Amino acid sequence: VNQGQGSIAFEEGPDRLEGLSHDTSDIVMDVTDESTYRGVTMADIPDDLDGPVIDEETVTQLALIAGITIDADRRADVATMLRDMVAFADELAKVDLDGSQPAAIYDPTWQDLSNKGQTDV
Amino acid sequence: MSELSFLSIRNAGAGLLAREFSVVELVDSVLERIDTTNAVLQAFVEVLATEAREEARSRDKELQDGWHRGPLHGIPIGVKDIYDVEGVPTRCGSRVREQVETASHDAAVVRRLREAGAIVVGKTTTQEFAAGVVSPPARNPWNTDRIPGGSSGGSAAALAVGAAIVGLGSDTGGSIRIPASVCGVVGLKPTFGLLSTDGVYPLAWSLDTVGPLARSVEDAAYAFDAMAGRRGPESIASALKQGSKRVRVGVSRPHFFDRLQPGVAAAVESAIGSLARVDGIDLIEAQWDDAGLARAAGFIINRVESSSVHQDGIARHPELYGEELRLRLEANALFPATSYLKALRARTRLRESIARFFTDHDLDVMIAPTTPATAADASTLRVQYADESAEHVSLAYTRLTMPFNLTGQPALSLPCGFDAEGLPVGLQVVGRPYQEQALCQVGATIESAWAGAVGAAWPRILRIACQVHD
Repeated sequence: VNQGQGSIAFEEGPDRLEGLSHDTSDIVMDVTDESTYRGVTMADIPDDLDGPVIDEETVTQLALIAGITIDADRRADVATMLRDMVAFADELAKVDLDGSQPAAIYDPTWQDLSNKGQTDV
Repeated sequence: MSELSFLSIRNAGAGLLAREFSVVELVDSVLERIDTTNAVLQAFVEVLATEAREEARSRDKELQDGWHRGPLHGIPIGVKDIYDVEGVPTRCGSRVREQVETASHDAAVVRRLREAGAIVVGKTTTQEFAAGVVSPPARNPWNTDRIPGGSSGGSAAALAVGAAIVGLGSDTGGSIRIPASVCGVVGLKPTFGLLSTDGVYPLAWSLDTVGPLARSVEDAAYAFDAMAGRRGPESIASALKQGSKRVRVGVSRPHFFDRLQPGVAAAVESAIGSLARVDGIDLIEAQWDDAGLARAAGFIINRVESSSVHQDGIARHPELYGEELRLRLEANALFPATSYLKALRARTRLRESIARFFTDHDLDVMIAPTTPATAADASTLRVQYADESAEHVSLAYTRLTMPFNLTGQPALSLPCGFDAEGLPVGLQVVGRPYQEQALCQVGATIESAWAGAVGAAWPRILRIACQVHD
């Protein structure tokens, strides 16, 4: 069977479709990163498809660690937003961080501490 | 409609010194514009008419006594409602601060502007706690079905209709440059840390930058000088009069030209074409490949720090936060500290990367579109592209601005044309750290490069835009 442009190949042979519980051990699947099925290439499928996914349960557990309460009806939306952030973090994997230190700021001066107006947090 | 409210700072100052009009008349003309336009544009959340007129009388008295404070003497300004203004509540566009007491002091840069003679006419609309690019309920003067951008959207909209001569903004992911771009005005984000943020409600401490919006590069430079306490020969505005030396302008295509609306691409390419013909400007095509990474790191730092800013608030009264911000704050409270630190470490690397890019190509500035799209529809908040794909405005608008919040460089947005619907397009000019003077000099050169075409018509176009609301 050759689907579209892909190269998913089933070896031809007798009795292949006989019965519902036929032996499939001789089927050869030649799947490469370039193989496609309905426009999706194998390379498009993430390696960790079966790995952990950030979901409502993850949010519940993380909120416990963070010491905050997130209402049950909001956890799915929070999980979606958290996944977006993790996607940004994944992009940073491309940066060689060897030896680089955080560029956090620290101002050692004692500014006028009385003039904080309404912006105290 | 009064013509006074559309004057440049230089012309307003000349008129005041020549006694052609008074500060009271100048302030009244701006208050009249606010009165005429605010019901539709909602650029101001609070108008300080009584206080402004009282200050105007004091500035007039000073002039009569022979005391001229400088270029900003008597200039009406709008202040984004995350800055403290003495005697006025700083509500930050949030129900969380609806009942907050009035500020006991001016924010540091507001104090400096007042000392330079500026007059606060009101507080301008912002997105809730400056965390977004929509600035509801403010609308765009060029088309009131569209958003003014944000989070300094009120200041930008006010400038476009003559409801202020200078507006104050803050820029953590693009919040000065984005509204400047989609409202057709100029916005200056100075180098991170150069201007005091004392008295300005934080969004993300290590990215927050305050700065001015105005209707020209020169006006933005005058306002910046006052905010930075620069006078005389060290002022940028005075350097602008001397013109610019020969400058090398970089154009980096990856990331910045990847996904633009056709009208934006056409206007920016046309502007680049104009620049290529300007004597004294060398255009250099070169590649900075790390902009996408800078954006990713900037997003993480921005959002995690803002979550920390509101940690107590979201725990005490989550129901008072707007739904979008609340979700963001809750989600980012769960983000791993190690990943935040990774973004900070990446910032170090990316700062080295952009420095190398500027040094290797000996660039004075680089240019790029400010936003990939013009003003988005307020009902959908989505940006449409030619390939029929769409993107939420918060992702689209910050795509080209956020990299320079991460690197901390100064950046300027100035108008460079219009799309097919007549909506303004912004060009972003990015300089070397602490080189605001060179940045504004190049900006002024670019501004004058198409003065014959769009630039000269700008004041007239702005008037046409706002006559809709007269």
